[in-house]
Amino acid sequence: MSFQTVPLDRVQRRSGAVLLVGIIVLLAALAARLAYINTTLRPRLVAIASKQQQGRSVIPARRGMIFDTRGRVVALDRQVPDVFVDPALVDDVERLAAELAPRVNLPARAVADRIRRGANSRFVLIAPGVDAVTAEAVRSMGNAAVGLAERARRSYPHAETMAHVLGWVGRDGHGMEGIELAYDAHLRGRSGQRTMIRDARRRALGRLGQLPVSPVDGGHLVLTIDAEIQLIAEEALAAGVRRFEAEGGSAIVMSPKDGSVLAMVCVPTFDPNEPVTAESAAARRNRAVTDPVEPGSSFKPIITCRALEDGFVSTTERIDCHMGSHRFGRRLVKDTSPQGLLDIRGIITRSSNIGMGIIAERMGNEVLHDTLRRFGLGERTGIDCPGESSGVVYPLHRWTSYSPTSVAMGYEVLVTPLQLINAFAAIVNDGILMRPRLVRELLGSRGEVIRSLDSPRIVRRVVSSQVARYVAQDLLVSVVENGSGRRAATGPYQVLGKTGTARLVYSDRGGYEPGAYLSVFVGAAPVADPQILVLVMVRRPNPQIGYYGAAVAAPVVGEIIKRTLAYLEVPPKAKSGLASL
Amino acid sequence: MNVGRVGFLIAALTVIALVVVHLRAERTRCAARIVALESDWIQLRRELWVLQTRTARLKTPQRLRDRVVSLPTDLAAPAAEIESPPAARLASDRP
Repeated sequence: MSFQTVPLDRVQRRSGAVLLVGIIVLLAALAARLAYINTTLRPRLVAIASKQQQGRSVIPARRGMIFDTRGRVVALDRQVPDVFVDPALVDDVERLAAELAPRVNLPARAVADRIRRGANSRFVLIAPGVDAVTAEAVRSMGNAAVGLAERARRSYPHAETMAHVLGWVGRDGHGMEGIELAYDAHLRGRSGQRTMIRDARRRALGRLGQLPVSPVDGGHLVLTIDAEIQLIAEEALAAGVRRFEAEGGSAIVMSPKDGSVLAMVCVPTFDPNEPVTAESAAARRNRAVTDPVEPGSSFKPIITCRALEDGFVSTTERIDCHMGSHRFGRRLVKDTSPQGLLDIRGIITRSSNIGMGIIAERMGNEVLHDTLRRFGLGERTGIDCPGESSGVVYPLHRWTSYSPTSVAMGYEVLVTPLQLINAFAAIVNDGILMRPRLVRELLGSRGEVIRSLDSPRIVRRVVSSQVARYVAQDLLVSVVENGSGRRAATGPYQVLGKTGTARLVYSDRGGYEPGAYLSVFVGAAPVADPQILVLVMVRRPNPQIGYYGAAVAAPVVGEIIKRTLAYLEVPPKAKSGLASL
Repeated sequence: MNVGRVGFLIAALTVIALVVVHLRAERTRCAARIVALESDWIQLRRELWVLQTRTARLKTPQRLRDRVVSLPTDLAAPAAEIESPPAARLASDRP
């Protein structure tokens, strides 16, 4: 077979040239377009491609656990899945919503609305924190547009019992209140992440070259709180509040020797697992440290210490209590039980306002003001709890000639329950004021001790040990055995303590509200070697049922002391001999 | 270049190509295995958290007290309302 070359005519040559030029132009245009795509468009296209092919998966870090003093876990993280939809992979919104809605227990319309609202996003949250059954039901759909994203969620196994001490954690993983807020930086971890290559159905095919960012778990905390004592205090206080139809109350159990808080309870309480379900914002407040109140007669032993220390009264002096009615200037002061001549033991045992008023007048404003300051009142105790109030001790220039009588009766001075029990702890602890504490140890994420806070911190000596012992082991024992605090002596332990009943001011204006009282009792046991100090304050009990601290708060303290000492296996001992000055 | 040499060259190139393909497949398999192991680790971590939460709930004083009451034992619930403390009872039991 042979080919013959036929000479091309002019037209054919021109057509060939045009075709060749056309092809060259076309190729040049393609080359230019390729260059344009590879230079100008490249960043945008790479971004689109990696968005389609790559997926980031967050590995949640674990917030540190919180333990009670005996190693019980009181707060920890668990992972919960959030159900989400990727609108970019949804073909038919209505059909998907109809299929998904019954699985997450939501109306189909609500699901469809959410998907439409987030149409421009790749992640539309449908149901946060679902349970394992729901998660499995969603997974079984096998729909690429529906996914489950893991998220850490705080869990409080003791629920309401420790709510006010622990606080809670917000959705963003930050502490919102209590210990969770105070130690947020220590507890919080750092989430990790890994980048995956995914197929069209968003299944992970492999990991990209770089190593994943590993999650760093948060450190742990060990509290001084004992969950068992906390429960005892909560049960006893709640029963007291119910019995007297009160608005609420606070209770604190403390180790007087080292300032460790063993229990801190507020009623009403709330479930920190679901903090939004609290009755009100006020119910979430830790009133034991945030709300200062006038403590009433429970304040008298503090004044008595200084009066005895500086010789304003002796243990043998008998003071005329004017049969229950006496004028200090123009102010008429009355006692609930009329008394004649009483020594200091009688004044404290009978809680005589007149007797204390006379002693306080001898002391004068300056000494009284200095006494309050010395006992740490008017300043924060420094406990590791956010929102602590410093209480109110007016500056000396605002004190009047009536101030000594008022302060001696526990008015004109505002203290938080924590300040009051801490001042009492100084009396019980031989006159040494300690700094109260809630945290014992800071642990690393592997449980190693980072910082120990176990050593007690002494603030100062506020009264001589001799006076402190006399007040604690004579006067305050007498209150429980012969006076207003009898109802605290319910168990086999010898108890010391002091009652108090204060009127409450209106919450929205000045003046005392008729029929609104604060019932207080502070007690410690066993007398010979006090292991625990307990304060109970009951707010606004129904006066028809009872309102005196002796009737309302003292039995609650007695109950807490009896059960706590039994739990601590403290044997009841023979009654101690009375101390003398 | 004779036919034998061309054949050897083609065979060598084929072997190299197969090795490259095998290595790439192995790499992909390993990557998938790593992803699977990481997923297992995350899953185990999740299960551990769930179990720790459950254990913590079971160990709360309230739950222990409920169990002691519900089980037919002679044990006294911790810090239950008792007339005398355990230490006193133990002391009195001593010979």
